[in-house]
Formats: sequence, structure tokens, C-alpha cells
Amino acid sequence: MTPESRTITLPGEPGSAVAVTVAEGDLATREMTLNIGPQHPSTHGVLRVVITLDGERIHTAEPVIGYMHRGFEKLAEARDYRQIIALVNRHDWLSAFCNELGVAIAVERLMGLEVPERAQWIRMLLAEWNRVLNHLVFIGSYGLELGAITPVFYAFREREDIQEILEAATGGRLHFTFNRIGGLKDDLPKGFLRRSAELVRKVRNRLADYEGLLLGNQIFRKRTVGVGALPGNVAKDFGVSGPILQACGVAEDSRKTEPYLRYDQVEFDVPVGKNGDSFDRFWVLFRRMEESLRIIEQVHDRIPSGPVMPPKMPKTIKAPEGWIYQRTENPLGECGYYLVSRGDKTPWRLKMRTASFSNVSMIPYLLPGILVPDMIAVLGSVFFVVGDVDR
Amino acid sequence: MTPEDLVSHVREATGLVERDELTPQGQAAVWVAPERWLEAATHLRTCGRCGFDFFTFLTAVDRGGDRGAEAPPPRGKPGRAQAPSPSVDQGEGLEVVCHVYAVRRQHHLNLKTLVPREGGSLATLSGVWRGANWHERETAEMFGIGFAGHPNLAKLELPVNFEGFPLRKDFLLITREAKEWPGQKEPEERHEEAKS
Amino acid sequence: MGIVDKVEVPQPIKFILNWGRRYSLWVINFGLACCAIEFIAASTSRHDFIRLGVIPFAHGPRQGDLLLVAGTLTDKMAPALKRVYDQMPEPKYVISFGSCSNCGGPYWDSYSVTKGVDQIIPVDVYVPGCPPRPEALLEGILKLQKSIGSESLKERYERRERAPIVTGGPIGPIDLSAR
Repeated sequence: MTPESRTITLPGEPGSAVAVTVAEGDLATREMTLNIGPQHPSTHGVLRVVITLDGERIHTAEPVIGYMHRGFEKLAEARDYRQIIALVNRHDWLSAFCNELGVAIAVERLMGLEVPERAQWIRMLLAEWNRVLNHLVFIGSYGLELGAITPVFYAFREREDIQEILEAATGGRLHFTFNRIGGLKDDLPKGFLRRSAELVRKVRNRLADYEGLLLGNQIFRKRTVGVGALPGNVAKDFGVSGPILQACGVAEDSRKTEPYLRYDQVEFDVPVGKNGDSFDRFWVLFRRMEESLRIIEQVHDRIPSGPVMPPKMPKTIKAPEGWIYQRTENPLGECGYYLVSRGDKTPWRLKMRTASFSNVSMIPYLLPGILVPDMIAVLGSVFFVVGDVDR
Repeated sequence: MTPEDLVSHVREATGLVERDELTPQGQAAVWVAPERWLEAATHLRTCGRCGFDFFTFLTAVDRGGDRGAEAPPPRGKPGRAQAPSPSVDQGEGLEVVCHVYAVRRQHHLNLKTLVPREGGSLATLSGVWRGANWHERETAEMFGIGFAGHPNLAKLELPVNFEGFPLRKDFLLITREAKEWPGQKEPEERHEEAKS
Repeated sequence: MGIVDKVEVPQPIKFILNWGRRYSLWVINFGLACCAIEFIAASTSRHDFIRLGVIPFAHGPRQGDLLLVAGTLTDKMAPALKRVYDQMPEPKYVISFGSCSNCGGPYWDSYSVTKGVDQIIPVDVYVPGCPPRPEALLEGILKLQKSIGSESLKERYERRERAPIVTGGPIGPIDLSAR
């Protein structure tokens, strides 16, 4: 027996009155549009999400991006390759070294340049430290979003120590600009490997503490287990990569499938989650950091001596004609550069395929159906950096 | 599959491949006609031997090309339209590139086509790979290419009232046109300036 | 608003009022890009600007004193910045952190970047760098505090009356000079 229902008109602003069919005994409700951002403490930067709510449950979610669109791809066409290295470390500003690496490797492959052994190993070392730096930010800020204020201070304490040694090597705390086409700007300073080894021990101990603090916390678990589960095939469809894809159960890592630098000569595992929910994504982050530390230790043992730039470099770097797609496993996911060259000093077209763009594009799929407090937990677990999304 | 095998499989299975490219670095691209874009993409998605389930990116490249050969661009100015070179460029207009990856089989493929500069339009791939949705929106606003059947082709990154298509070669960076790049010049340029 | 903005108060009282204002600045973190990370690093334990009296996590623009714009301002984001600035009550101060917000920075030739925050809002202190070190932020805060210490509120409000900042809103432009 169908309950009796009646139609009433809910008032609104002029022109927006809506007719709603209400079943017997129910409340007459209408959807509310809530705008989150662009300036909001819980989004990682200027991401705006427009959600329509039915009570506390999200009906649709639409991210509005472009508040950090700086026109990287157009700017890259007006800069030569050395300037581009300084430019591209600013789109994913938490993993600057890894971004530069992608461009440098792309141009080197096009030119057929032979990068010296030592430079490859040092690049790997710095890239893995950068990965640890990146993951620390997400761990710290996620705690902050869920209401735990302490982890961010701990995470940034580790970051300060790591940034200190990276600054000793490269001169920069955030934007390193240390890669050059063909190798690196300079060799490592004396005593770097010893400091790096001490820091690995220190960070490893602390990581175990943070894991207990965050992942072992009952409130954290209640807020993240089962929240925002993403199936693996949907993730691949959207192009989601990196820790999110690994948490869905897909063991896809560019360092394993298409090794660049010397990743085929070091041992490391690719952690894989089970459910693809927010808890798994953070569990994967911790495992990835441990694997990075493992790689760093192996680099310490095996790094050869030698030069860091090829002996004979052309005066101006001109990539020969052609195109290449070079992808690297950035901390946030797959970062690729599609470089089309016409033989000039500047590229004809540099398309930056960034991990965060695809990660954020699946928010309209992920958010509908969950409650607003869970939305904070889910948005924080979608790893993105707004500069990476908008470029 | 190796890039060569992949390309010949796609050629045989679909019959749509007009030409293919295999770069010295081992990367493969197949060219199809714009009218057969959706058909080719659907095959790549559904065929068991291809298995392309990971959507990497979709973008466009401005070929330039309808102007004659010009001198190489001065330092700091974006490369303007140059004469098409035989090895890379065949035809002018906007080249649309869709790169997909097969996770299990671990092979990549670039699907390419050429659309005219004005009024170019392709079928949308957002029904085939969900990730294509945003990439097509961005390509549409940056290059002015239409995607027929796309659920929502609104501007993604640019402000709503932005005019022009930034990534086309005829869209100039105004600040660069107005003033010279203030940094230091290359050694040979300084040498030339000292001589003159 | 009282006598402070109309009368030049004598030095001991002015000193105390300025002292109160300069050492309790609630900062609104308008962190946009990479400089926001260095701002957060400046607020954590190693550099810690709380010991200077600058308190992070203001509960909203209506309760903030100091607007710290860190990162690139794009043309799409500019109205939001203006709105946040307008929501802040007087006296308010602005620090522009990083070269993107100072002058456009590495994106000086971009088609979508506002070349400098001072095109939209008045800035008190510019902190250069890309990104500036947290110590540079601390120095910027010290400079701001020094300038607040020698500030005269009467002059500040007179300046505003002579050149009112007319803001747009749903009810039309609000003329701040009529009070």
C-alpha cells in the first residue's frame, strides 16, 4: 500500500521555489548547495568543492579547480630546458626534485645523453628523500583535519631535519633545482652520506611512533576505516595512480614496471592495500616511506664515485626533433611529461600529466553518498596538491 | 606486447590505423581519422589483448603550419608557427593525443588524430574511460576543440570570462611581447651584442 | 570608534595601545601555493612565530588582524582575496610572502596570474624569496611589529577617510568615509 503523498511548494529566493513530493509522515526537505573553499582550512590549498546536500548526506560533488592555474604549459614553451627545470619543480611543490627528474630524463632520452653512474644514484637518493618529505606532509595535515593537532608538529619536525641535509646538498629547502640536463648541478658535500645514514635511523624510529599514534588511534580508525572506498577498476579508469591506486589493491609503480635511474638495481616492495578506503591509503603511505628508507640505505652502500655531469656537454641544450612521454613515480602518483620538440632550445609542447589532476577528477565519483564529516576524511585522503591539479 | 607487435595488432584488429610512429626510444603511436576516434578508442578499451584500462592523458598539440618558414624564434619567445618538418609533422591543425596504458600487460599506446584548427570536433571518450572527462574539458578550453557528447564541457581551469585559447600558438604572452626578458643573455648572444 | 582615531593620543597611552596591537596579531593564513608550506614550517616548533605574538589559526577573517598572502595569486582567485580582506575589521595589516605575491614571481609572463597582490590590496611588508626561508618571515613580522609600534591610529584612519577603500557588496558600494 503506497503511503499517501502530497506535493507542497517550498519557498526560496525569487524564482527558485521548488515543488517537492512528500510521503506521509516525512519531512519536506530540499537540497542545499554548500560551497567549500577556495579558502578553507581543510582543503589542501585552493580547491573549491561545490556539494549539494540532502541533510548531512552528499548528493553530488563538483570540484571547481583553476584557482592556482598559472599556465605552466604555455610558460614552458617560452623557456629553455634549464629554465624549465626551475619552473616544473613548482607545480607539485611538495615533491620538487621528482618533478625536475621527469623533465631531465625526458630530454636526456630524446638527446640520447649518457648520464654518469654517480649522478643516477645521487638522483635516486634525493628523490627518495623527497618522497619521505612529501608523505610526511600528508600524514601531518591529515591528522590536523581530523582534529589531531600533534601529528603536524611531529611531521614537520622530521621535515626540518630532512630539509636540513637537502639544503646542505642542494641549497634549497623546498624547490631544489638541482637536476640539470645530463646529471646534477654539483656533487654531494662531504659528510652527506654519513648524515643521511644517521637521519635514516632517526626517521625510521620516529615513523614507528607516528604509525602507532595515528593508525593505532581508535578515533582515527573509526573515522577512516571503510570511508571512501574506491574500487580498483574505477581508479584505473580515472587514471588515479600512486598511493591511492596501490591502496585499492593494484600494485602499479613506475619504478618497478619501467625502471628509470637505477631502480632496477635496488630491492624494494610495492605495498598494496585491501579495501581502498582512507585507512588503507594512509597505511600505504607509511609503508612507502619505509620502502624509501630501505632504498636510501641501499644507495648509501652502493653509490659509486665519479663525475656528476657528462664530460662533453653542448653549449646550448637542444632536444632533437621528436616526441617522448616520460613518466616517473612521484610521491603523489604518476607524473608524466609529454614533450614534443622541434629541435629548438625550447620545447614545442610540454604537456604535464600530473598525478593530482587525475586524483581530483574522481572526487565526483567518490563523494556522493557519504556524510559531511566523512567528506573531510575522504578529501584529506585523496592525495593532491592544488598546484599539481591546476598547473 | 612489444610496441611493434602492439601496433600491428591494432592495425589488423581495427583496420582504422592510417599510419603509425615508433620512436627510437621505443614508444608507439597510431594515427586514426577523427571520425573513427571513438571506434578506435573503444577497441583499445575492450579488446582482451590490448587491455588498456588505465587512462593516462588526453591533450592536443598545435601544429602551427599555415604560415611559411620563419627564422627560429628569438630567445624567450614561444616558438611560433614554423614550416612543418617531414619527419614529425604531416598536416597542419591541432593534433590530439590520447595516451593509455594497460596495467596488467604493461604496455602504452598513443592514439593520435588531426583536427582542423577552426571548428574541430571529436567524439568524447568519457564513456570509454571516465578519466577522459576532465582531460577533454581542459583540452577544449585550451585549444578550442569540441567534444561531441561530453556531459559538461564548461571551462575547467580558466576563469569563466576568459577569452581566447591559451595553448594555441597564436595566443601570445602579452608580458613577453611588452618587455624583454630581463635576465642574463646566453654567452653567444652577449658575444654578438659586443661585436655589433 | 571612540577618541583613538580622532585625537592624537599622548605618547604613554599610544605606546601601550600599539604594544597591545603589535604583540597579539591573529594571522589569517591565506596560503595559496608553495609559500604556504614554508609558512606552516614557520609556525611549527623549530621556527615558531607564536613566540613573537603572531597566533595562527584565526577563526575567520572577521576575527583576524594580519592577512598573510603566501603564494601565487591568480586572476580567478583575486576576488576571493579581496573579499577576505574586506571582511577583516580595521586595523588590519597585510604581509605579502614570497615573490609570487610580491610581483608575480616566476610567472611574470603568465596569462592568468595577478602580478602582485598589491594590485588589489594594500601591503605593509613584502617578504622576498622563492620560497622565503621561515627566518625571513620572522624578520618580516619583526619589521611589521616595529612599524606598528610607531603607528598613529588617527593618521591611519585619516588616510582611509581621504582615500576610502570602496568595497562592492550585495547592497552596493559601501563608502567607508561616512561614519
